[in-house]
Amino acid sequence: MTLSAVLLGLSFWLFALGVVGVLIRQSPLAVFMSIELMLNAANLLLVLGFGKPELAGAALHGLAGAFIIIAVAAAEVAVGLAIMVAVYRTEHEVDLDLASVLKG
Amino acid sequence: MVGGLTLACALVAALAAVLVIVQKDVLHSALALIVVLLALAGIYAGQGAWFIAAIQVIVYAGAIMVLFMFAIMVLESRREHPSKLASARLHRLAAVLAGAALCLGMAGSAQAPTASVAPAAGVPEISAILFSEFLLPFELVGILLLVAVVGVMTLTGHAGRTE
Repeated sequence: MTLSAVLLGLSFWLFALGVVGVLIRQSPLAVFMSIELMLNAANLLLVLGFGKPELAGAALHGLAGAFIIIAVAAAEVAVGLAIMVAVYRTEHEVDLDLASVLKG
Repeated sequence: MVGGLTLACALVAALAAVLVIVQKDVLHSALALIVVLLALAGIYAGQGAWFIAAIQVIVYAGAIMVLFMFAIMVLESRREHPSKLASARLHRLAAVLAGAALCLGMAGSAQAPTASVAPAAGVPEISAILFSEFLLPFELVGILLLVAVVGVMTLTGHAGRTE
């Protein structure tokens, strides 16, 4: 079992844990953290591609993609937490079961 | 040496990721997530991607997690309430099974890449790519961040004015 295989498995593990976390957690903050786990699993894959010499020409593209994903994650977290603050102002509690205002 | 450190980081990340999911206290989840992010930064450094490792520590483990901590403290929602949904226990079981199936499916469909010596990529190489081939996505990310900042101000500021 090579090191790359271990890291590939770690990426799968992080993504699967992120999916499980999104589905089982109640707090939207914890759901956000699970989404971060999934984003990091994808980033790990992008950086792993960088270490492969047969991808030499395209390897740096993975790093650029990882850079952009981190920036997008920062924007996503800022907007998401602002939405949570807005929900907290109306419900005085942050709970995914209570955030059903937009439900038709 | 590098391989051993990378393996240790991978182990730490895998275990801390479990803690992120199973902790009842959201603050403990956030602390475990910081450990995951730092361990991943170590792995990136071991792969030769020093710039991404630095960005991971500064932006992810630094800025984003501080924002998380801030939100947890402000919202005071550290304890999760038991779900009011009728079949929450069943949902959790289904979620765990779905995660396991996903993990198995991805592991089955992937071929392990061969180990290799990582070339070093500094800031010049990455910025050369970012400002040539990735110029459009780079500028779009800039616009996205601007829109996010304005959106956050609108969301939180407007709610305050109506009260």
